[in-house]
Amino acid sequence: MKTVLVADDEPTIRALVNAILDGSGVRTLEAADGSEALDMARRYQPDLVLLDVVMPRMDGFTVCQRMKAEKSMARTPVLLLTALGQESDHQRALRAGAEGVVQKPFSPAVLRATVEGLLNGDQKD
Amino acid sequence: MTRDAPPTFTHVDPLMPVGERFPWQERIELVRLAARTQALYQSAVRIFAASTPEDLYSVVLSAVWSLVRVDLAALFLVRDADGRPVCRALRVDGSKVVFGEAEAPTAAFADAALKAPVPLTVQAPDPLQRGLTACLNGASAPAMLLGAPIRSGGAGLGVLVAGRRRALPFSPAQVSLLQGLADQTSLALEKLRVATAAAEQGRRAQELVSIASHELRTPLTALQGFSELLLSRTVDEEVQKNWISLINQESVRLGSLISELLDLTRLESGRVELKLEPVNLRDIAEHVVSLWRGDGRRSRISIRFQAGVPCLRADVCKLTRVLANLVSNAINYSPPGAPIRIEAAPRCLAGPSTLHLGPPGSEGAACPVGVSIAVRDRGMGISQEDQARVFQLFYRAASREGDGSAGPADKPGGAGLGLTIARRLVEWHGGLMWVESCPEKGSTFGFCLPLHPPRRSAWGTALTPGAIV
Repeated sequence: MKTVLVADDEPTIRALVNAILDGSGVRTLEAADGSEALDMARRYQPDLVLLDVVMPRMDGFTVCQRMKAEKSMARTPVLLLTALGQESDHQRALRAGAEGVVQKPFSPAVLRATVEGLLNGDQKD
Repeated sequence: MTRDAPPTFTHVDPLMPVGERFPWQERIELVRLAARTQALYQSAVRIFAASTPEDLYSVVLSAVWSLVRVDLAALFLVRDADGRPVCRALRVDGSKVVFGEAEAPTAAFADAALKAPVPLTVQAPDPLQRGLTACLNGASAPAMLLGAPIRSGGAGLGVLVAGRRRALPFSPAQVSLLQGLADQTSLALEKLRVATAAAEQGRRAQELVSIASHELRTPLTALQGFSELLLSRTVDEEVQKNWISLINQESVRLGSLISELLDLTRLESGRVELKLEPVNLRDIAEHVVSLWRGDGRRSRISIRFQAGVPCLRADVCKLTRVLANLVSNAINYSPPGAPIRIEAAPRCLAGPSTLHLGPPGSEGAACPVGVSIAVRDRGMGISQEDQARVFQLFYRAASREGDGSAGPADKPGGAGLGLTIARRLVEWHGGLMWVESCPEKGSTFGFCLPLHPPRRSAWGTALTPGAIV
Protein backbone atom coordinates (compact mmCIF):
# COMPACT_ATOMS: atom_id res chain seq x y z
CA MET A 1 0.00 0.00 0.00
CA LYS A 2 1.30 3.43 -0.96
CA THR A 3 1.91 6.02 1.76
CA VAL A 4 1.02 9.68 1.43
CA LEU A 5 2.29 12.28 3.92
CA VAL A 6 -0.13 15.17 4.42
CA ALA A 7 1.42 18.29 5.99
CA ASP A 8 -0.89 21.18 6.89
CA ASP A 9 -1.19 23.19 10.08
CA GLU A 10 -4.99 23.22 9.71
CA PRO A 11 -6.49 20.03 11.17
CA THR A 12 -9.62 20.56 9.07
CA ILE A 13 -7.61 20.50 5.84
CA ARG A 14 -5.78 17.34 6.94
CA ALA A 15 -9.16 15.75 7.72
CA LEU A 16 -10.42 16.81 4.29
CA VAL A 17 -7.42 15.37 2.42
CA ASN A 18 -7.79 12.15 4.43
CA ALA A 19 -11.45 11.96 3.47
CA ILE A 20 -10.67 12.62 -0.19
CA LEU A 21 -8.00 9.91 -0.32
CA ASP A 22 -10.12 7.47 1.67
CA GLY A 23 -10.91 4.52 -0.57
CA SER A 24 -8.13 5.17 -3.04
CA GLY A 25 -5.95 2.50 -1.52
CA VAL A 26 -3.36 4.72 0.15
CA ARG A 27 -2.25 5.05 3.74
CA THR A 28 -1.97 8.65 5.02
CA LEU A 29 0.39 10.13 7.59
CA GLU A 30 -0.12 13.59 9.07
CA ALA A 31 2.25 16.41 10.04
CA ALA A 32 1.13 19.70 11.61
CA ASP A 33 4.12 21.86 10.67
CA GLY A 34 6.99 22.02 8.21
CA SER A 35 9.64 20.73 10.55
CA GLU A 36 7.54 17.73 11.55
CA ALA A 37 6.82 17.07 7.86
CA LEU A 38 10.54 16.93 7.04
CA ASP A 39 11.23 14.59 9.98
CA MET A 40 8.38 12.27 9.01
CA ALA A 41 9.39 12.27 5.35
CA ARG A 42 12.90 11.17 6.40
CA ARG A 43 11.64 8.52 8.79
CA TYR A 44 8.76 6.97 6.82
CA GLN A 45 9.93 7.57 3.21
CA PRO A 46 6.39 8.13 1.88
CA ASP A 47 5.51 7.64 -1.81
CA LEU A 48 4.09 11.16 -2.07
CA VAL A 49 4.22 14.29 0.10
CA LEU A 50 1.42 16.86 0.14
CA LEU A 51 2.69 20.14 1.59
CA ASP A 52 0.80 23.24 2.63
CA VAL A 53 2.86 26.34 1.82
CA VAL A 54 2.27 28.51 4.90
CA MET A 55 3.08 26.40 7.94
CA PRO A 56 4.65 27.14 11.31
CA ARG A 57 8.36 26.42 11.90
CA MET A 58 9.15 25.77 8.22
CA ASP A 59 7.22 26.71 5.10
CA GLY A 60 6.32 24.24 2.37
CA PHE A 61 8.81 25.70 -0.14
CA THR A 62 11.69 25.10 2.28
CA VAL A 63 10.52 21.57 3.17
CA CYS A 64 10.36 20.77 -0.54
CA GLN A 65 13.83 22.19 -1.21
CA ARG A 66 15.33 20.27 1.71
CA MET A 67 13.69 17.05 0.57
CA LYS A 68 14.98 17.46 -2.96
CA ALA A 69 18.46 18.13 -1.59
CA GLU A 70 18.58 14.85 0.33
CA LYS A 71 19.43 11.78 -1.68
CA SER A 72 16.96 9.49 0.08
CA MET A 73 14.01 11.80 -0.67
CA ALA A 74 15.08 13.55 -3.86
CA ARG A 75 12.85 11.32 -6.03
CA THR A 76 9.79 11.46 -3.75
CA PRO A 77 7.13 13.48 -5.59
CA VAL A 78 5.91 16.59 -3.80
CA LEU A 79 2.55 18.28 -4.33
CA LEU A 80 2.26 21.77 -2.86
CA LEU A 81 -1.16 22.95 -1.68
CA THR A 82 -1.09 26.72 -1.86
CA ALA A 83 -3.55 29.31 -0.65
CA LEU A 84 -1.33 32.20 -1.68
CA GLY A 85 -2.89 32.54 -5.12
CA GLN A 86 -0.11 34.46 -6.86
CA GLU A 87 1.46 33.37 -10.12
CA SER A 88 4.89 33.95 -8.56
CA ASP A 89 4.06 31.44 -5.82
CA HIS A 90 3.38 28.76 -8.45
CA GLN A 91 6.70 29.52 -10.07
CA ARG A 92 8.41 29.43 -6.68
CA ALA A 93 6.86 26.04 -5.96
CA LEU A 94 8.16 24.64 -9.23
CA ARG A 95 11.58 26.16 -8.64
CA ALA A 96 11.65 24.48 -5.23
CA GLY A 97 11.37 21.21 -7.12
CA ALA A 98 7.70 20.37 -6.54
CA GLU A 99 6.13 17.98 -9.06
CA GLY A 100 2.79 19.76 -8.83
CA VAL A 101 0.86 22.66 -7.34
CA VAL A 102 -2.80 22.65 -6.34
CA GLN A 103 -4.51 25.94 -5.56
CA LYS A 104 -6.81 26.14 -2.53
CA PRO A 105 -9.78 25.91 -2.57
CA PHE A 106 -9.63 22.74 -4.65
CA SER A 107 -12.18 20.26 -5.86
CA PRO A 108 -11.80 16.83 -4.18
CA ALA A 109 -12.00 15.12 -7.59
CA VAL A 110 -9.10 17.23 -8.92
CA LEU A 111 -6.92 16.58 -5.87
CA ARG A 112 -7.62 12.86 -5.98
CA ALA A 113 -6.84 12.66 -9.71
CA THR A 114 -3.60 14.65 -9.22
CA VAL A 115 -2.49 12.44 -6.32
CA GLU A 116 -3.26 9.26 -8.26
CA GLY A 117 -1.44 10.62 -11.30
CA LEU A 118 1.69 11.36 -9.27
CA LEU A 119 1.58 7.99 -7.51
CA ASN A 120 1.15 6.15 -10.83
CA GLY A 121 3.89 8.19 -12.47
CA ASP A 122 6.18 7.15 -9.67
CA GLN A 123 5.15 3.52 -10.27
CA LYS A 124 6.03 3.72 -13.98
CA ASP A 125 9.59 4.77 -13.11
CA MET B 1 1.51 92.00 -9.09
CA THR B 2 2.46 89.47 -11.72
CA ARG B 3 5.28 87.06 -11.09
CA ASP B 4 7.74 88.87 -13.31
CA ALA B 5 6.91 92.42 -12.22
CA PRO B 6 9.87 94.22 -10.59
CA PRO B 7 9.64 95.03 -6.90
CA THR B 8 8.45 98.54 -6.12
CA PHE B 9 10.16 100.75 -3.60
CA THR B 10 7.71 103.37 -2.46
CA HIS B 11 10.27 105.49 -0.66
CA VAL B 12 12.07 106.17 -3.94
CA ASP B 13 11.02 109.08 -6.14
CA PRO B 14 10.29 107.52 -9.57
CA LEU B 15 11.11 110.79 -11.36
CA MET B 16 14.75 110.75 -10.20
CA PRO B 17 17.30 109.63 -12.80
CA VAL B 18 17.98 105.90 -12.45
CA GLY B 19 21.58 106.39 -11.37
CA GLU B 20 20.54 108.71 -8.56
CA ARG B 21 17.61 106.75 -7.17
CA PHE B 22 19.68 104.76 -4.65
CA PRO B 23 22.97 105.47 -2.97
CA TRP B 24 25.54 102.91 -4.21
CA GLN B 25 25.59 100.98 -0.91
CA GLU B 26 21.85 100.40 -1.20
CA ARG B 27 22.23 99.32 -4.79
CA ILE B 28 24.84 96.77 -3.83
CA GLU B 29 22.58 95.61 -1.03
CA LEU B 30 19.66 95.27 -3.46
CA VAL B 31 21.77 93.23 -5.84
CA ARG B 32 22.83 90.99 -2.95
CA LEU B 33 19.23 90.66 -1.79
CA ALA B 34 18.15 89.67 -5.27
CA ALA B 35 20.96 87.13 -5.48
CA ARG B 36 20.06 85.66 -2.07
CA THR B 37 16.39 85.47 -2.97
CA GLN B 38 17.21 83.70 -6.19
CA ALA B 39 19.60 81.32 -4.42
CA LEU B 40 16.99 80.56 -1.78
CA TYR B 41 14.41 79.95 -4.49
CA GLN B 42 16.74 77.59 -6.35
CA SER B 43 17.57 75.70 -3.17
CA ALA B 44 13.85 75.41 -2.41
CA VAL B 45 13.29 73.81 -5.80
CA ARG B 46 16.05 71.26 -5.16
CA ILE B 47 15.02 70.64 -1.53
CA PHE B 48 11.40 69.94 -2.46
CA ALA B 49 12.43 67.66 -5.30
CA ALA B 50 14.30 65.36 -2.87
CA SER B 51 12.60 61.97 -2.77
CA THR B 52 14.56 60.24 -0.01
CA PRO B 53 15.84 61.46 3.37
CA GLU B 54 19.49 61.07 2.26
CA ASP B 55 18.78 63.04 -0.88
CA LEU B 56 17.16 65.79 1.16
CA TYR B 57 20.00 65.97 3.70
CA SER B 58 22.55 66.13 0.93
CA VAL B 59 20.76 68.92 -0.93
CA VAL B 60 20.25 70.93 2.27
CA LEU B 61 23.91 70.70 3.29
CA SER B 62 25.06 71.62 -0.23
CA ALA B 63 22.79 74.65 -0.10
CA VAL B 64 24.25 75.71 3.25
CA TRP B 65 27.70 75.25 1.80
CA SER B 66 27.11 77.38 -1.24
CA LEU B 67 24.90 80.08 0.30
CA VAL B 68 26.48 80.76 3.68
CA ARG B 69 30.14 79.96 2.90
CA VAL B 70 31.10 77.67 5.74
CA ASP B 71 33.66 74.98 6.61
CA LEU B 72 31.17 72.69 8.33
CA ALA B 73 27.49 72.00 7.75
CA ALA B 74 25.45 69.52 9.74
CA LEU B 75 21.81 68.51 9.94
CA PHE B 76 20.51 67.36 13.30
CA LEU B 77 17.11 65.76 13.73
CA VAL B 78 15.34 64.99 16.96
CA ARG B 79 15.51 61.28 17.90
CA ASP B 80 12.18 59.66 18.82
CA ALA B 81 13.45 57.75 21.82
CA ASP B 82 14.81 60.62 23.89
CA GLY B 83 13.92 63.82 22.04
CA ARG B 84 17.64 64.67 21.63
CA PRO B 85 18.96 66.04 18.33
CA VAL B 86 21.33 63.59 16.65
CA CYS B 87 23.45 64.28 13.60
CA ARG B 88 21.94 62.71 10.47
CA ALA B 89 24.26 64.25 7.91
CA LEU B 90 27.58 66.07 8.11
CA ARG B 91 29.81 67.83 5.62
CA VAL B 92 33.26 69.09 6.60
CA ASP B 93 35.72 71.04 4.45
CA GLY B 94 33.98 70.38 1.17
CA SER B 95 34.17 66.61 1.54
CA LYS B 96 31.20 64.38 0.70
CA VAL B 97 28.15 64.37 2.93
CA VAL B 98 28.38 61.65 5.59
CA PHE B 99 25.10 60.11 6.72
CA GLY B 100 24.42 58.32 9.93
CA GLU B 101 22.98 58.68 13.35
CA ALA B 102 25.71 59.81 15.65
CA GLU B 103 26.37 61.99 18.61
CA ALA B 104 28.28 64.26 16.29
CA PRO B 105 30.68 67.10 16.99
CA THR B 106 28.21 69.86 17.53
CA ALA B 107 25.60 67.86 19.44
CA ALA B 108 25.72 70.03 22.54
CA PHE B 109 25.45 73.11 20.41
CA ALA B 110 22.57 71.62 18.41
CA ASP B 111 20.80 70.81 21.64
CA ALA B 112 21.09 74.44 22.75
CA ALA B 113 20.11 75.75 19.30
CA LEU B 114 17.00 73.56 19.29
CA LYS B 115 15.76 75.25 22.44
CA ALA B 116 16.73 78.77 21.39
CA PRO B 117 13.87 80.92 20.07
CA VAL B 118 16.05 82.45 17.31
CA PRO B 119 19.12 81.22 15.37
CA LEU B 120 21.91 80.74 17.87
CA THR B 121 25.48 81.86 17.27
CA VAL B 122 28.46 80.94 19.43
CA GLN B 123 32.11 81.83 19.14
CA ALA B 124 35.13 79.88 20.36
CA PRO B 125 36.22 79.17 22.97
CA ASP B 126 32.65 78.30 23.90
CA PRO B 127 32.24 75.19 26.05
CA LEU B 128 29.35 74.11 23.80
CA GLN B 129 31.65 73.22 20.94
CA ARG B 130 34.46 71.58 22.89
CA GLY B 131 35.40 68.15 21.70
CA LEU B 132 34.80 69.08 18.11
CA THR B 133 38.44 68.64 17.13
CA ALA B 134 38.45 64.95 17.96
CA CYS B 135 35.50 64.34 15.71
CA LEU B 136 36.86 66.19 12.71
CA ASN B 137 39.76 63.87 11.88
CA GLY B 138 42.33 66.19 13.37
CA ALA B 139 41.19 69.26 11.45
CA SER B 140 40.81 72.37 13.54
CA ALA B 141 37.42 72.95 15.09
CA PRO B 142 35.14 75.74 13.90
CA ALA B 143 35.64 78.98 15.71
CA MET B 144 32.15 80.19 14.88
CA LEU B 145 28.93 78.20 14.87
CA LEU B 146 25.44 79.16 13.78
CA GLY B 147 22.42 76.96 14.43
CA ALA B 148 18.99 77.55 12.93
CA PRO B 149 16.15 75.59 14.51
CA ILE B 150 13.95 73.48 12.22
CA ARG B 151 10.44 73.80 13.55
CA SER B 152 7.03 72.55 12.55
CA GLY B 153 4.16 74.20 14.37
CA GLY B 154 5.50 74.66 17.87
CA ALA B 155 7.59 71.49 17.84
CA GLY B 156 11.33 71.42 17.27
CA LEU B 157 12.24 68.86 14.59
CA GLY B 158 15.96 69.55 14.46
CA VAL B 159 18.71 72.07 13.84
CA LEU B 160 20.64 73.14 10.79
CA VAL B 161 24.20 73.94 11.83
CA ALA B 162 26.83 75.96 9.97
CA GLY B 163 30.42 76.35 11.21
CA ARG B 164 33.47 78.42 10.30
CA ARG B 165 37.10 77.88 11.20
CA ARG B 166 37.81 81.59 11.33
CA ALA B 167 36.07 83.70 13.92
CA LEU B 168 34.26 85.58 11.19
CA PRO B 169 30.79 86.55 12.42
CA PHE B 170 27.74 85.57 10.42
CA SER B 171 26.01 88.58 8.89
CA PRO B 172 22.29 89.15 9.56
CA ALA B 173 21.69 88.21 5.91
CA GLN B 174 23.51 84.88 6.37
CA VAL B 175 21.58 84.18 9.56
CA SER B 176 18.35 84.84 7.70
CA LEU B 177 19.48 82.65 4.77
CA LEU B 178 20.26 79.74 7.09
CA GLN B 179 16.91 80.17 8.83
CA GLY B 180 15.25 80.21 5.39
CA LEU B 181 16.95 76.92 4.55
CA ALA B 182 15.89 75.50 7.94
CA ASP B 183 12.28 76.48 7.22
CA GLN B 184 12.44 74.87 3.79
CA THR B 185 13.90 71.74 5.38
CA SER B 186 11.01 71.63 7.83
CA LEU B 187 8.46 71.68 4.98
CA ALA B 188 10.42 69.12 2.98
CA LEU B 189 10.62 66.81 6.01
CA GLU B 190 6.87 67.10 6.41
CA LYS B 191 6.40 66.28 2.72
CA LEU B 192 8.64 63.20 3.06
CA ARG B 193 6.83 62.15 6.23
CA VAL B 194 3.47 62.27 4.49
CA ALA B 195 4.86 60.40 1.47
CA THR B 196 6.44 57.74 3.71
CA ALA B 197 3.23 57.33 5.70
CA ALA B 198 1.23 56.97 2.49
CA ALA B 199 3.66 54.39 1.11
CA GLU B 200 3.56 52.48 4.40
CA GLN B 201 -0.24 52.56 4.38
CA GLY B 202 -0.24 51.21 0.82
CA ARG B 203 2.21 48.46 1.77
CA ARG B 204 0.10 47.48 4.79
CA ALA B 205 -3.07 47.44 2.70
CA GLN B 206 -1.35 45.19 0.16
CA GLU B 207 -0.11 42.91 2.91
CA LEU B 208 -3.57 42.77 4.45
CA VAL B 209 -5.17 41.83 1.12
CA SER B 210 -2.55 39.17 0.48
CA ILE B 211 -2.82 37.60 3.93
CA ALA B 212 -6.60 37.92 3.97
CA SER B 213 -6.89 36.14 0.65
CA HIS B 214 -4.73 33.32 2.04
CA GLU B 215 -6.77 33.07 5.22
CA LEU B 216 -10.11 33.12 3.40
CA ARG B 217 -9.05 30.26 1.13
CA THR B 218 -8.49 27.86 4.02
CA PRO B 219 -12.09 27.73 5.34
CA LEU B 220 -13.32 27.91 1.73
CA THR B 221 -11.28 24.81 0.93
CA ALA B 222 -13.01 22.94 3.74
CA LEU B 223 -16.46 24.20 2.68
CA GLN B 224 -15.99 23.28 -0.98
CA GLY B 225 -14.22 20.00 -0.23
CA PHE B 226 -16.60 18.52 2.32
CA SER B 227 -19.74 19.71 0.52
CA GLU B 228 -18.55 18.15 -2.78
CA LEU B 229 -17.70 14.92 -0.97
CA LEU B 230 -21.19 14.87 0.57
CA LEU B 231 -22.73 15.38 -2.87
CA SER B 232 -20.62 12.75 -4.61
CA ARG B 233 -20.34 9.97 -2.05
CA THR B 234 -22.64 7.87 0.06
CA VAL B 235 -21.23 7.72 3.56
CA ASP B 236 -22.63 6.48 6.84
CA GLU B 237 -24.51 8.83 9.12
CA GLU B 238 -21.70 9.38 11.59
CA VAL B 239 -19.17 10.43 8.92
CA GLN B 240 -21.84 12.62 7.33
CA LYS B 241 -22.50 14.33 10.67
CA ASN B 242 -18.78 14.88 11.22
CA TRP B 243 -18.34 16.48 7.80
CA ILE B 244 -21.39 18.72 8.26
CA SER B 245 -20.07 19.80 11.64
CA LEU B 246 -16.72 20.70 10.01
CA ILE B 247 -18.56 22.68 7.34
CA ASN B 248 -20.48 24.50 10.03
CA GLN B 249 -17.33 25.19 12.04
CA GLU B 250 -15.49 26.58 9.04
CA SER B 251 -18.42 28.73 7.92
CA VAL B 252 -18.61 30.27 11.41
CA ARG B 253 -14.89 30.90 11.20
CA LEU B 254 -15.28 32.45 7.75
CA GLY B 255 -17.98 34.78 9.10
CA SER B 256 -15.91 35.93 12.06
CA LEU B 257 -12.86 36.31 9.81
CA ILE B 258 -14.76 38.60 7.46
CA SER B 259 -16.15 40.80 10.24
CA GLU B 260 -12.75 41.04 11.92
CA LEU B 261 -11.15 41.90 8.60
CA LEU B 262 -13.65 44.72 8.15
CA ASP B 263 -12.88 46.01 11.64
CA LEU B 264 -9.18 45.87 10.98
CA THR B 265 -9.56 47.65 7.64
CA ARG B 266 -11.41 50.46 9.41
CA LEU B 267 -8.63 50.71 12.00
CA GLU B 268 -5.88 50.63 9.38
CA SER B 269 -7.50 53.31 7.27
CA GLY B 270 -8.09 55.54 10.26
CA ARG B 271 -11.87 55.42 10.00
CA VAL B 272 -12.34 54.92 13.70
CA GLU B 273 -13.97 57.35 16.06
CA LEU B 274 -13.47 57.09 19.76
CA LYS B 275 -16.53 58.00 21.80
CA LEU B 276 -14.65 59.44 24.71
CA GLU B 277 -16.24 59.56 28.12
CA PRO B 278 -15.08 59.17 31.73
CA VAL B 279 -14.40 55.47 32.25
CA ASN B 280 -14.17 53.46 35.42
CA LEU B 281 -11.96 50.47 34.59
CA ARG B 282 -13.44 48.39 37.39
CA ASP B 283 -16.89 48.62 35.78
CA ILE B 284 -15.42 47.38 32.51
CA ALA B 285 -13.56 44.53 34.25
CA GLU B 286 -16.72 43.44 36.10
CA HIS B 287 -18.74 43.56 32.89
CA VAL B 288 -16.16 41.41 31.08
CA VAL B 289 -16.13 38.85 33.92
CA SER B 290 -19.95 38.70 33.75
CA LEU B 291 -19.72 37.62 30.10
CA TRP B 292 -18.30 34.26 31.22
CA ARG B 293 -20.45 33.89 34.35
CA GLY B 294 -22.51 30.73 34.39
CA ASP B 295 -20.12 28.90 32.13
CA GLY B 296 -19.26 26.15 34.62
CA ARG B 297 -16.35 24.68 32.64
CA ARG B 298 -14.67 28.02 32.34
CA SER B 299 -11.86 29.34 34.41
CA ARG B 300 -12.18 31.25 37.65
CA ILE B 301 -11.74 34.94 36.85
CA SER B 302 -10.87 37.33 39.65
CA ILE B 303 -10.30 41.08 39.71
CA ARG B 304 -7.55 42.80 41.69
CA PHE B 305 -7.25 46.56 41.47
CA GLN B 306 -4.50 48.43 43.25
CA ALA B 307 -5.42 51.54 45.21
CA GLY B 308 -5.45 54.81 43.33
CA VAL B 309 -6.44 53.59 39.85
CA PRO B 310 -7.89 56.78 38.40
CA CYS B 311 -10.80 57.26 36.01
CA LEU B 312 -9.72 58.01 32.47
CA ARG B 313 -11.26 59.28 29.27
CA ALA B 314 -11.74 56.44 26.81
CA ASP B 315 -14.22 54.63 24.58
CA VAL B 316 -16.06 52.17 26.86
CA CYS B 317 -17.14 49.79 24.06
CA LYS B 318 -13.68 49.57 22.56
CA LEU B 319 -11.92 49.07 25.90
CA THR B 320 -14.46 46.39 26.80
CA ARG B 321 -13.69 44.64 23.53
CA VAL B 322 -9.94 44.79 24.19
CA LEU B 323 -10.28 43.37 27.70
CA ALA B 324 -12.79 40.73 26.58
CA ASN B 325 -10.36 39.62 23.89
CA LEU B 326 -7.54 39.24 26.41
CA VAL B 327 -9.77 37.31 28.84
CA SER B 328 -11.09 35.11 26.03
CA ASN B 329 -7.53 34.25 24.95
CA ALA B 330 -6.56 33.55 28.57
CA ILE B 331 -9.49 31.14 28.90
CA ASN B 332 -8.84 29.44 25.57
CA TYR B 333 -5.19 28.82 26.30
CA SER B 334 -5.59 27.72 29.94
CA PRO B 335 -6.74 24.38 31.35
CA PRO B 336 -10.44 24.37 32.38
CA GLY B 337 -10.93 25.89 35.82
CA ALA B 338 -7.47 27.50 35.92
CA PRO B 339 -7.38 30.88 37.66
CA ILE B 340 -7.31 34.06 35.58
CA ARG B 341 -6.79 37.47 37.13
CA ILE B 342 -7.58 40.94 35.83
CA GLU B 343 -5.26 43.46 37.47
CA ALA B 344 -5.10 47.22 37.28
CA ALA B 345 -2.63 49.75 38.64
CA PRO B 346 -1.94 53.48 38.34
CA ARG B 347 1.47 52.61 36.83
CA CYS B 348 2.83 50.28 34.18
CA LEU B 349 2.54 46.62 35.19
CA ALA B 350 5.00 45.44 32.55
CA GLY B 351 8.61 44.61 33.29
CA PRO B 352 11.14 47.12 31.90
CA SER B 353 12.22 44.83 29.05
CA THR B 354 8.73 43.73 28.11
CA LEU B 355 7.79 46.79 26.12
CA HIS B 356 10.57 45.98 23.70
CA LEU B 357 9.07 42.55 23.14
CA GLY B 358 5.66 44.05 22.59
CA PRO B 359 4.00 45.18 19.43
CA PRO B 360 6.18 45.76 16.40
CA GLY B 361 6.99 49.42 16.02
CA SER B 362 6.73 50.16 19.72
CA GLU B 363 10.42 49.57 20.37
CA GLY B 364 11.78 52.32 22.48
CA ALA B 365 8.37 53.91 22.88
CA ALA B 366 7.68 55.52 26.21
CA CYS B 367 4.97 53.73 28.14
CA PRO B 368 2.06 56.02 28.91
CA VAL B 369 1.80 56.02 32.68
CA GLY B 370 -1.85 56.92 33.22
CA VAL B 371 -3.18 53.51 34.13
CA SER B 372 -2.50 49.93 33.16
CA ILE B 373 -4.58 46.79 33.13
CA ALA B 374 -3.35 43.22 32.68
CA VAL B 375 -4.82 39.74 32.36
CA ARG B 376 -2.75 36.95 33.96
CA ASP B 377 -3.33 33.30 33.25
CA ARG B 378 -1.64 30.02 34.17
CA GLY B 379 -2.08 28.48 30.77
CA MET B 380 0.28 27.04 28.19
CA GLY B 381 2.37 30.21 27.90
CA ILE B 382 4.16 31.50 24.82
CA SER B 383 7.75 30.85 23.81
CA GLN B 384 10.17 33.76 23.70
CA GLU B 385 10.28 33.51 19.91
CA ASP B 386 6.51 33.65 19.56
CA GLN B 387 6.09 36.54 22.00
CA ALA B 388 7.48 38.84 19.35
CA ARG B 389 4.89 37.57 16.86
CA VAL B 390 1.68 37.40 18.89
CA PHE B 391 0.54 40.83 17.74
CA GLN B 392 1.16 40.10 14.08
CA LEU B 393 -1.70 39.65 11.68
CA PHE B 394 -3.24 36.18 11.69
CA TYR B 395 -0.86 34.83 14.33
CA ARG B 396 -2.34 31.86 16.16
CA ALA B 397 -0.74 29.76 18.85
CA ALA B 398 0.60 26.56 17.33
CA SER B 399 -1.03 24.09 19.68
CA ARG B 400 -4.72 24.16 18.90
CA GLU B 401 -5.55 20.53 18.59
CA GLY B 402 -6.95 17.91 20.89
CA ASP B 403 -3.50 16.80 21.91
CA GLY B 404 -4.16 17.00 25.61
CA SER B 405 -2.54 20.40 25.88
CA ALA B 406 -4.37 23.50 26.96
CA GLY B 407 -5.14 24.70 23.44
CA PRO B 408 -8.72 25.46 22.47
CA ALA B 409 -9.38 22.04 20.97
CA ASP B 410 -13.13 22.11 21.21
CA LYS B 411 -13.86 25.36 19.43
CA PRO B 412 -13.14 26.76 16.01
CA GLY B 413 -9.82 28.54 15.89
CA GLY B 414 -10.04 32.31 15.97
CA ALA B 415 -9.14 34.25 12.90
CA GLY B 416 -5.86 35.34 14.47
CA LEU B 417 -6.92 38.97 14.24
CA GLY B 418 -8.28 39.56 17.75
CA LEU B 419 -4.99 40.60 19.33
CA THR B 420 -4.02 42.73 16.33
CA ILE B 421 -7.35 44.56 16.58
CA ALA B 422 -7.01 44.90 20.37
CA ARG B 423 -3.54 46.34 20.01
CA ARG B 424 -4.69 48.83 17.38
CA LEU B 425 -7.60 49.92 19.60
CA VAL B 426 -5.21 50.49 22.51
CA GLU B 427 -2.90 52.46 20.23
CA TRP B 428 -5.82 54.60 19.12
CA HIS B 429 -6.21 55.54 22.76
CA GLY B 430 -2.53 56.55 22.82
CA GLY B 431 -1.63 53.41 24.76
CA LEU B 432 0.70 50.47 24.37
CA MET B 433 0.04 46.72 24.60
CA TRP B 434 2.57 44.19 25.88
CA VAL B 435 3.01 40.54 26.75
CA GLU B 436 5.04 38.63 29.33
CA SER B 437 5.02 34.87 29.23
CA CYS B 438 6.77 31.72 30.33
CA PRO B 439 6.04 28.48 28.46
CA GLU B 440 3.96 26.03 30.56
CA LYS B 441 3.60 28.61 33.34
CA GLY B 442 1.26 31.19 31.86
CA SER B 443 1.02 34.53 30.16
CA THR B 444 0.22 38.11 31.05
CA PHE B 445 -1.18 40.41 28.41
CA GLY B 446 -1.60 44.01 29.42
CA PHE B 447 -1.92 47.53 28.18
CA CYS B 448 -1.08 50.99 29.48
CA LEU B 449 -3.30 53.95 28.71
CA PRO B 450 -2.84 57.69 29.16
CA LEU B 451 -5.55 59.47 31.16
CA HIS B 452 -6.47 61.49 28.08
CA PRO B 453 -6.09 60.05 24.57
CA PRO B 454 -3.97 62.29 22.35
CA ARG B 455 -5.45 64.05 19.34
CA ARG B 456 -4.92 61.91 16.27
CA SER B 457 -4.10 62.58 12.68
CA ALA B 458 -5.93 60.62 10.03
CA TRP B 459 -3.25 57.97 10.13
CA GLY B 460 -2.96 56.39 13.57
CA THR B 461 0.21 57.01 15.45
CA ALA B 462 1.90 60.26 14.59
CA LEU B 463 5.23 59.81 12.90
CA THR B 464 8.11 61.93 14.04
CA PRO B 465 10.73 63.21 11.62
CA GLY B 466 13.29 60.65 12.76
CA ALA B 467 10.98 57.88 11.60
CA ILE B 468 11.53 58.66 7.95
CA VAL B 469 15.11 57.41 8.00
